[in-house]
Amino acid sequence: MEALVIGRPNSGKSLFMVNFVAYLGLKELRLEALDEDGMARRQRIPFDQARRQLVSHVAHKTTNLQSIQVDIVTGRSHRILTLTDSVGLTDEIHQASHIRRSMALTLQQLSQKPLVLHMMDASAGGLPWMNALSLVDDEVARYAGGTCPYVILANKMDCETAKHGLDRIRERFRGYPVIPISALTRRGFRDVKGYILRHWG
Amino acid sequence: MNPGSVLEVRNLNVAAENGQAGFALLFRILISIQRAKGEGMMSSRSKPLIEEPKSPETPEEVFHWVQAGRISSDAALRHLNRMDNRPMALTLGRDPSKKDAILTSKERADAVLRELDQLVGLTGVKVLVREMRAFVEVQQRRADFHLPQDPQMLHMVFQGAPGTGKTTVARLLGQLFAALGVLPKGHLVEVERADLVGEYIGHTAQKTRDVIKRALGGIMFIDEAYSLARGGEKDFGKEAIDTLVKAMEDYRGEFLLILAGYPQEMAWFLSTNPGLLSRFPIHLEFPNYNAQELLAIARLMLAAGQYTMTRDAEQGFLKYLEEQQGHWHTNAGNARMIRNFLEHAIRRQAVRLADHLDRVTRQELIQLTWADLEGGL
Ligand SMILES: Nc1nc2c(ncn2[C@@H]2O[C@H](COP(=O)(O)OP(=O)(O)OP(=O)(O)O)[C@@H](O)[C@H]2O)c(=O)[nH]1
Ligand SMILES: [Mg+2]
Repeated sequence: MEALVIGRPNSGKSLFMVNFVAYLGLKELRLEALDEDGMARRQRIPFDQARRQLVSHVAHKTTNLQSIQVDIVTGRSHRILTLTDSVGLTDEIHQASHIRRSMALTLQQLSQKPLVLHMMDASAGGLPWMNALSLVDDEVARYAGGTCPYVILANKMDCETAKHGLDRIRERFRGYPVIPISALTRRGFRDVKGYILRHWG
Repeated sequence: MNPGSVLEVRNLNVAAENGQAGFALLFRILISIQRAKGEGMMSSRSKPLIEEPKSPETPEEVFHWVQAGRISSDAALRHLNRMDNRPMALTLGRDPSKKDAILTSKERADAVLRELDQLVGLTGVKVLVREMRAFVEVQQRRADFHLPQDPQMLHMVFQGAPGTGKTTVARLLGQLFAALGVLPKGHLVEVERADLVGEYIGHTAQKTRDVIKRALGGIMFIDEAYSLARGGEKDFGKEAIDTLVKAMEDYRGEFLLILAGYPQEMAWFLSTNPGLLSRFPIHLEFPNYNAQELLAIARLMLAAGQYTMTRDAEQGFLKYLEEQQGHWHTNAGNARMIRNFLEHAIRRQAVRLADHLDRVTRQELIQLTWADLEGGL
């Protein structure tokens, strides 16, 4: 099963990925990164180092696609989930060609119809003008929401402003499933796992 | 012909449909100008002999165009969506748990009020809108008990300078009344004198009736309404007013009328026609923003376009706004004036960066300096 974490820069995709696989029971990260040249590279890193290395408040911290494979054991069955963290998508055309390359790869992954976890930063969603402008979120919802198993993760719910943001996300993306989470405190992770298992294709 | 810029035009439309037309539009245009500049430099190296197709035709082409910097991710997704012409596309994946889809009237009304609360300042307006909501809900309970209720009580006068949020609040009121079931649609039809007043006898009544038809089920918002009385007895404006007054009776409860304009002019207008005042029981005042509020508005506007001000720029701007407070020309128009300042600043920033675009950093593209702002003040 392939799951793709997608969303705007800084929405918390990487932190979610690291903490979610820890929640699923991985002891260390076995990361497979797809470089800009399309070559796969494997790495093993402990979690605290992974958090330092992969997560940042600077936009476009993640510049390539990184996948992690996790075994999910439920009852008697044993299944493998490949979770892919992607580069942030923007309304702008990015100046750096390696970022554009990774955006293209992200879209390509998306077109393979994986399970899509659409990350949104609920703590930033409170501004009316800001909301009106996130075209790429609208388009991801329209594309993936129409063709893949798709769920919106309203992230950073630990922040005070996120309540408003969650309401606005629900309003704007009415009809699509929304799970409030915090990649930081791991709130909502059980619901995400449940969602993935229910839509195992 | 640059295909990237064609797609940008589509983006513009989306932003405009979202109801943030003016400023969002401007940012988009400026951003696409900046992009076009960058792309111009790129493509001059390898100008294709045969003009390339205007939009990608296969998913592979879409990915290629993204990589080449010809289209943005959102445009790419629109193309992919177009190619993905599965009939199921609209229904699949949508969560059928209707709980999200059907919000209760109360939830929708709450959502509108929350949006209202996010507007900067306007404390008085916020209080009054809450009172109106309570009023409407009580009226509805009265109807449950077969007590008379009067939808005519909701026509309004908005007093304030341009750019103080009148249209935005009118739009939100439309949504609120739609949520509460007072208006079936709650859309806003913005009109001004020229939309109502014709050129010969009978023309005005016809034009005005046409506009009323469009507004049925929603709100008709007449900006600078006093201009209807400007021309005196012989002016066709008077015919427009008479037609409106008649329509308020004929279409009782089917649309709401909001008259908007500067406080003094509106007071004069209502005094010219004694019948009018009694028909517009609710008056909302939109005071001018103070310096701190204007700065807050500037920040919001900039954030929307992914711009910020440096600390120096903020301090300088605040100081300037404080000094000017109370001295604005009445036409300066508050938020709209801020918008103009920022537009100038963004243009100056573009000029400042244009000569070293190849070395420019992301940070530089985002930040407006005090020099950028000062030049436009
Ligand atoms: N408070 C809070 N902060 C969060 C949460 N999730 C992420 N962050 C912070 O948000 C910032 C961005 O997180 P990342 O995980 O790097 O975001 P990303 O989406 O991978 O960003 P790019 O790789 O740049 O596209 C970091 O400073 C995180 O610490 C959350 O749930 N709560
Ligand atoms: Mg990342």
